[in-house]
Order: sequence, then structure tokens, then C-alpha cells
Amino acid sequence: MYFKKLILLFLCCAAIYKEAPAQSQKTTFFLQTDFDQLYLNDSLKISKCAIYLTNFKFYNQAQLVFVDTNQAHLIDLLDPNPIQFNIPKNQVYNRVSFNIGVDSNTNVAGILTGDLDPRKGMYWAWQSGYINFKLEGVLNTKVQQPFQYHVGGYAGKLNAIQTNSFEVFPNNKYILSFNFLPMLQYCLAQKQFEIMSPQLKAVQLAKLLSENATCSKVQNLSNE
Amino acid sequence: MNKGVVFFILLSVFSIAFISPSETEFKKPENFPKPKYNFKNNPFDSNKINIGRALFYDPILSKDSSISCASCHSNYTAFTHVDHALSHGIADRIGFRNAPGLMNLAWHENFMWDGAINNLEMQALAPLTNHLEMDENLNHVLEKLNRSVFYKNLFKQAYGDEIISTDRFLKSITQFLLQMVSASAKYDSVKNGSATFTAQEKKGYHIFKKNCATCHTEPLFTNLKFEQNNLPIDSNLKDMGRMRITQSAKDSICFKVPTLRNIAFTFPYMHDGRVRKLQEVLHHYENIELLTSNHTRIKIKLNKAEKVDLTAFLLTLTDQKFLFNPALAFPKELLLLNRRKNE
Repeated sequence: MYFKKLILLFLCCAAIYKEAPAQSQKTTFFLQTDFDQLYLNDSLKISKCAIYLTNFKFYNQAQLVFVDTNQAHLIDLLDPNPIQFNIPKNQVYNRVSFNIGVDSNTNVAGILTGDLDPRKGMYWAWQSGYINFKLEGVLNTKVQQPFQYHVGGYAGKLNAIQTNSFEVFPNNKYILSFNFLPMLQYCLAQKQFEIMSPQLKAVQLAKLLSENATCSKVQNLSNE
Repeated sequence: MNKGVVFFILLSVFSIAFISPSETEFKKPENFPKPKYNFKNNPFDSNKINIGRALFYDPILSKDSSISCASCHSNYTAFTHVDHALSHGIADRIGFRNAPGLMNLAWHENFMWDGAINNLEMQALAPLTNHLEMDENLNHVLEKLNRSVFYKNLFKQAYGDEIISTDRFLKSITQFLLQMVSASAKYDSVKNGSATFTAQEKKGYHIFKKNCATCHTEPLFTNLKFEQNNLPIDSNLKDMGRMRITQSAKDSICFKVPTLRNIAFTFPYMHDGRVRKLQEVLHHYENIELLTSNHTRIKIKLNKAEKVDLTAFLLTLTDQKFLFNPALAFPKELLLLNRRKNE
């Protein structure tokens, strides 16, 4: 038992030492949605909007230079915290890629912790699998129309994971914006107010969200 | 002194000093294939198995504390529920599938009749949160457990502190489920040379190999695949089986092939428990043509004598050691005596 604790202590020290590189460059992503604009005309009230962003990788042209060690970032898009990467200073990069959703290997890996803990409310218990993103709310038209979209699925034709890639450079801040309006318009046109399981329509929603995601530079950070 | 001897002595001292006495190993039966479960992520520990066993038999997991896992998975009937065709939840709610027997789970990659669950560690979440079964939610269960002095003590003993997290909770249950290994039937004794079949059992075994083994493959007596066996759809349940999960027409009314081990104890049979007796199961298969998942056609024809011989063989799959294993039974000392002391 003491030996295990000693090893644990050593590993913790090693991790702390590793997490504090003397020289690093930062890339920060602020996350936002298009809800503010939609709130203005009071046409829509969103009660829940959460998304998994996973597998962040940084590239210099086609060469992979940095991989995020954090398995998944669960973002509450109604109150988002920025995601910041500290990348060793000697690494040159000009592109980031990430997934919207949780990949199939992670989905079948058994119980996981942190943001992937099923307690976070983004896991289907009746049919194993993570919900890649959730959007719930009420549409204010002639009558109030509640809607809820739980989009996920990792296997075969029902795999809803999407990969996005954007140009980014060291020591910059970016706004990563998820525009849900095209997805909502698609659902409303079909009078589809609920999607709660892996299905082809969910894959379509995931594609629409991914296609309408943007990344724009905010300002330069001073070199540290 | 020889360097090898010094190394051996040091290794022995290290082993004695640092390997926790509670660590145990999974013993694979000799005639079984390599298990699918990744034991490296959840090494066995007798204290964790103990927690899993307590949780399995504790109704604290259900919303109104009225039913436990064991309510539908009784150890004396190979961890199935012989009283009900369909699973029986809290407040007399009735589910839509038969509770399957639990055994040899380390060899499965997916669980439930439709394979909805993709990892044994996640299995407990399904009945726990199902409205027709335990109707609980994970957060509330963990809150209840974290308030229990009894469980806090058990987790401290097993994990070094009192925190009862999702992964500790589910991994402990998994460790207990993995103990349910049935590999000591007469069939296994025959296979390892310590027993012999009677003439009738031997005939039955040949009939089995000719007609049943494609789907009920030895030694697990399931090919672990999803097959359809020409049972008509129940018009009330409208259960499409595996298709519910994959939404692929080829999986329509396909269900996971159940093991035949301990079959004498796992009635009623089929995914919806519609068949109560083993003879009726054989009646279903006595003149049938089946198309398997790998597109082979199987024609089965069984006469009366063959069905009797086949039954004799199927009874050799009864594993008394498993069915009456005290280590898998209700943990009276733990749940009744120790708990009372603690709470």
C-alpha cells in the first residue's frame, strides 16, 4: 500500500513537473453560439446546450505536432469556459482539428472519468453511448413548442461524430462559434421536435452543426 | 552469490512486501477461449468484489429501495428470474424482455438481448435507470451511497478513501459480475477427462453438434451473435430485437443467442419468456429451417427419441458448483450483520 502511494506521489510530481514547461505558447478558444441573436426577437428560448469537443490536434501543414492529452472537453454553451492549450514553444503549427462528439473507441472503452463520467448527463444508459451534443428549448411561435435534440451515435451508418479543422497560429485567441440555426431550421421544416437516439436524422443534424461551425481570430497575445 | 539467486530473493521480498493481499486473479477455465474483458483496467481485488456483491443484492439501487439486481437475477437459477416471463420492476412495473441468465460475462463484448450495452462496466446503468425496472438515476444512487456509512467504509477499505464515484461504483459491480463463471458442469468434466457421458448423453451430444452448435457454439454454448429463430413477433411487445439498435433491416427480429449452460434452470425461455418448458423449446426447433447471420441455411429435424437424447445432453450443462456457489450468494454477513452495526 505504501509502495503504491509512493509511486502515486512520484507520478503526481512528474505530472506537475510536466505540466509546467518553462516555455510554452498559448492558443485559446472562446466558445459561443448564435443564441444571442435569436434571443433578440424572442423567437427561441434555449434551456440546455452542451457539446463534447474532443481529440484536439495541432498540425504544421500535414505534420502532427501536438495532441491534447485531455480526452474530452464537455462545454456548456450557455456558460462556456474557454479552452486553452499550452504548446511547447519549439513547436510550429498553423492548423487545429477536433471532433464534435466522442469517437467509437472511447464509446466502447467502459467507464471513464472527468468530463466523460456518465454523471455529467451526456450518456445514454439504455443504449451505451455518449450524446455528442444536446440542444433543448422552446420555440415561441403561435403556440409554445418545446424541442429536444440529443445527438449521438458511434457505430456504422449511425456514427454522428464530425471532424472540424481550422487555421490557427501560436499565441492567438480565437472564437469558436457553433451556429445552431441551420440545424433548427432543418428540424422545424420537417416538424421534427425530438431526436433522442442514434439515427440517420441525428447524423444529418451533426453534419449541419459541423458545416456551420466557424473559427475567427480575436487578437494577438503578447509573447510570454 | 549467483546474480540469479540474488535477483530471485529480491523479487520474492518485493512481491511479499508490496503486493496487496486483497488482489486476486481471474482464473480462465482451461477449455475456454481468451476472455474479451480488459482486466488490466479493473484488476481484481477481493474488497472490490465484496462491494460489487453487496451492491448486487442491495435494493438501495432502486428508486423506492424495493428491488435489487438479484430480484431479477437470482443466483439459484443461474441469475435469471423464473417467476416472470418479462422482467419485474419497481411498483409492479413489467418490462418488455425476459431477464437473461448471467454467467461467463467476461467473454461477451455486448450485453442485453439486442446488444444495446457495449461494455460490461456500463451494463448496470441500463436496469438502474430504466423506468420499468429500477427507475433511478445515477446521481441519486451515488448520493445515497455516499451518505451510507456502511458503503463509505467498504469503499475506504477497497480504494483507500471513502469517495464513491461513478467509476468505482460501476467497476466494483463489474468485478462481482465477472465472478459468475460457469465451467464446472458434467460437460466440462467430460471435456477434461474426469467424467464420461452416458450412452444417451453421448447420442444427445452428437445431435447437438449436428443441429444446434452453429449458434450455441462450445464451450460458451453461444456464438455471441445476433440470430433470428423464426419466432413470430409478439403483437403487443412489437420487439424488433437488434434492429432497434442498428436500425438495419438485416437485424430485424434478431436477438443475442443465449447460452445453453444451466438451461434446466433458466426458464422461461426466449427473449420474451414466452416458452416455459424445455420440451416446448425443442418442439419449436423440431422441424425448422433457419438462416444464420453468416448467411448459412440450417435445416433441423428432430424426432421424439432425438429430442429425449438431446435433453439428456443439455442436462449435462447444469453446473451445481456455480448455482450453489456461496461466494455468489446473498452476502448475509455483509448486508445484514455488518450493515446493522454501521447504520
